[in-house]
Amino acid sequence: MENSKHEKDLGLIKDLMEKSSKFSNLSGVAVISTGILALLGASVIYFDIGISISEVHISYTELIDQTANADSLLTKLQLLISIASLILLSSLLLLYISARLKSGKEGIKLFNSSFSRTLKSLFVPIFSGGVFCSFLLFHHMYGLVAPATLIFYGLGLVSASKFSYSELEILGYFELFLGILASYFMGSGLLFWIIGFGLGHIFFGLFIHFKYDKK
Amino acid sequence: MEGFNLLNKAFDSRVRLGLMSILSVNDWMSYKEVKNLLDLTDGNLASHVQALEKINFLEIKKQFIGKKPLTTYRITLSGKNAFKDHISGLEKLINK
Repeated sequence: MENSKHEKDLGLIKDLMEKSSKFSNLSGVAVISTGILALLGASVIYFDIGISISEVHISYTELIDQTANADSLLTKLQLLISIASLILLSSLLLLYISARLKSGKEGIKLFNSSFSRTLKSLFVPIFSGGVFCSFLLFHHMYGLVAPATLIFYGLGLVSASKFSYSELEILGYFELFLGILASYFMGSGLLFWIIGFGLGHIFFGLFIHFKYDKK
Repeated sequence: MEGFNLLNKAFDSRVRLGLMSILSVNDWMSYKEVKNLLDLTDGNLASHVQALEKINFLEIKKQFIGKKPLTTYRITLSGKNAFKDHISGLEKLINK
């Protein structure tokens, strides 16, 4: 009798310690949207669909192998970088706005210590990865950019999962695994990117939505 | 029985137990944050907070952000120690 009360008390303590110190204002719908954005954006590049800025069509593989002439390669590269930046910025904005809305609804300050710890553990690997990737571009090693973003993002997620949803760890290992595979199959790097950033986020977003948001 | 001597009467109520759990892992938490985490209605929290302040387990800070009043709480060192003891008391009792 007494024992079960003590156990319940300890359970309550543990639950509240976790709930109050972990960042849990991700919105499932926003995560799904970032996945869809990544899926659309990367598909435009990879399958070379839609309007091409240059007259010549260059496939992603041709870009990696650098078989086309320098001018068209540069145009393709510019298109790739602008689309990627657009995806990144709109995703961050979307996540930020939805997190603000969600925390406002729950009466919790967004900028608390769990949020800053999550951001820090996520962005230290991602920022170093970003710098690394810009040097890859600088040295014309285009093929390794997509795998590298997957690897650094995966590392960021694994370290952020300690201060946020523990399920982020699984997503992190998934991205890492894809990144390592993609480094081997270099010409198909973007295809792995589509799977990781597109499908990975859509599934993870659905999971968050049904497990946490729909309560 | 070993363990019982570590339990603290001040944490008998679930609201106070919850309040201490939140404050033990966070610095300055606002009234609204605590209220929502504990799923309480207005007015329910204040009396428990005062009781814990009286025995110096937490401190209360009242300030104004613009024109809005903001009340925040923080655990004190003696509160932290008492809560730690309480947890190890609970653990000892269920491990029997």
